[in-house]
Amino acid sequence: MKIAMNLPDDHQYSIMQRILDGTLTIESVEEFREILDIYPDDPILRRKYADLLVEKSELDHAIAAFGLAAELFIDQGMNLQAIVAKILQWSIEQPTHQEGRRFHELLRDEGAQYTPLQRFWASMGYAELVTIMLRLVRVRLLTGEKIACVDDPANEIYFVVSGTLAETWSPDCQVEASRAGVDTEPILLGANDIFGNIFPLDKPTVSYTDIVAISDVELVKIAKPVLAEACKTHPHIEHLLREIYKPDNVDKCDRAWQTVRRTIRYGLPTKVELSGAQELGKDNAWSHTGIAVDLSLGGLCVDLGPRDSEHGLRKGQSVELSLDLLNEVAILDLTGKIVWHRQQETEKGNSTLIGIRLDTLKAADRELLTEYCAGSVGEQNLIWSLWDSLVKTD
Amino acid sequence: MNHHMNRGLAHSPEIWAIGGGKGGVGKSMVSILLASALAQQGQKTIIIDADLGGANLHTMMGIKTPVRTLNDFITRKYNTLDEICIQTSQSGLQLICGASEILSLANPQYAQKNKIVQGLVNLPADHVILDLGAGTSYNVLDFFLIADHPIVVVTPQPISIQNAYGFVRNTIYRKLSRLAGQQPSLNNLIKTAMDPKNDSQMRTIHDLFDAVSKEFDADLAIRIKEAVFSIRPWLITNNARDERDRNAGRIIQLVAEKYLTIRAKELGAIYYDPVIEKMVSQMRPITLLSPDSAARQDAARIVQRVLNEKRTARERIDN
Repeated sequence: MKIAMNLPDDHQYSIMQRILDGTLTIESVEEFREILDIYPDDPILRRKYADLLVEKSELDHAIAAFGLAAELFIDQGMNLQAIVAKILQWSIEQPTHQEGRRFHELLRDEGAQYTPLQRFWASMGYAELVTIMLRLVRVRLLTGEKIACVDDPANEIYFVVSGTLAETWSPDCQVEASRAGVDTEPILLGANDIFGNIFPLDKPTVSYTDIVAISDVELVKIAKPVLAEACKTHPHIEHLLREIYKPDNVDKCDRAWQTVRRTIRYGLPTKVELSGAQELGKDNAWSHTGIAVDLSLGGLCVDLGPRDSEHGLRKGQSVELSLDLLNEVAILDLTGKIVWHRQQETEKGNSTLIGIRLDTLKAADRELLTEYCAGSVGEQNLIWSLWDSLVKTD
Repeated sequence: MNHHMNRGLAHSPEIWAIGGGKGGVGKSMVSILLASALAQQGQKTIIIDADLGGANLHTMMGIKTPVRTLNDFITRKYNTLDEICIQTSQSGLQLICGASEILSLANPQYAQKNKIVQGLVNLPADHVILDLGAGTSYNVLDFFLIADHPIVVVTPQPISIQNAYGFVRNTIYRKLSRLAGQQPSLNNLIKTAMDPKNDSQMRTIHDLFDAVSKEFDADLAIRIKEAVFSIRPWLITNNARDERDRNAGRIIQLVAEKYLTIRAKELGAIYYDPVIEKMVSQMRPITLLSPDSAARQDAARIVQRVLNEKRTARERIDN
């Protein structure tokens, strides 16, 4: 069964995750290719690679990469993301009708249809799909940017391609809703959610909520008059659209949570002391102090801070680690192996990052680390996204 | 272990459990403020230091050396918890001191735990407040799970939020592992799901429901769902210093709803009051805090909200 949950999972050695969330920027096409050799089937990674190729003006390769990303997205049940990849591909080189039809057939035959949004994209006829794809406009938001305000005209429908937004009621609305006994808790919107109070299509409508990005977000939108026009020509589109807006879909689809969110990667910074043993016959033992910025039961990424070289670090080398968990246990001693290391430019100079795979944990250590990590990457990301947007002050 | 099974006495107390994962978030202070607010309303209240590994609630109540502790009950020196209650400086509020002198009590045996739970149910009070220890050991979670009003205390700090969420998460898995009982294969599945990065791709409680439904049967999946949905923790943000700080509890609420499918409810915030710190260091009972103190008023509002919700729920049942 193909459902939208089955994105490639959070990789325990962290590098893939960090590329995806933008905390590790890979600027070299060659280096990116090496990573793709290890993770060939990750559509989001493939899409990032295609974006990089566009930046580097390697457009022929970008066309192929977007095309492959689209296929991989379909494979993962991510029809919307596949369409966006295809739009990007075709914005470089216009497709032939045959290519267009091939993509439509692939989406129709292979695209998942478990949720109304998946059905929206996979059930359209060829002409309908082309009509919509030609009218989709890409929007990118940075964390903190507002995209909708209460009482402003609701002139567009938005589809969330990636990232997370928070939908909140205005203070006035909250007071009124509270009097009426209506729940006004903020709602989180993520990949494959939609927003925009567009119905009725032929009359002006306004937004009832404020919507703000709580991570970097990619959206596609269609203006309401354009959509109304398209629906006149293709009434089936309006039917599919109404299906997405049906209230009971919220329960059935659990809104955005049908897909794994890939928001900004956060983690509780944890101080770590690292030491590498001396190789036989060599005087190359080393020890470093760094911050584990991405810790899980499988491994961790350690930022050693600004330094000029990666002296002493070797892939495959065994290391001893002491993690300061800031709780009653305080220090947790573990062992592991370096699986990657690289230099990354930061404001303070070159920073060295190391990916470490932990050796099999003792039961007690595992329990402690489970408690400390307190959740999956998705849970952690959401906690820190919300922390930034709801509590943290500069 | 469900104390409701043992109820029957008209005066069985309502049990409040105050947990939160991280040490130092003010669980004891919140426990005292809530207990004091209940007593203020004329509700007979007993506060129990259930931090079995590091009992110190009595010092915050101005008692240097407790004459009787929970240990006296466990070792059968006294037969009922009622007998080890100590009157506090506030009318209507009694205290049961913890047992830090007996280190083994940090990990009481099942029978000892059961004895304490039975004792709680029979206490002659309207409300019993359990001040739980830090961390997410099974004993802490088990006391949390028996409460009528399970409350998680969080402070507006990243590590506190993370730990409080971990506490809620572990509570669920503890409840499920108890439900799994002697079924090793189900227990293994639950243990796997609890690992946030398990290889079976179970990332949410929904995934666990699906896995149980597939690997066992739909009825069991429904029972597990019901067990999860029955967990409704309340959230209190302690030591808030401004409006944004009040949102700390909301973070846990939102993440828990999405990933754990449970509906945690925010009870509100208790504002930071430097006077409390002073009183603690001077060993003056927190119950003597001025009624005008913001923290005290916040606690009174929280207590009122819980009592109102209970009344509304009861009216709904009656109608």
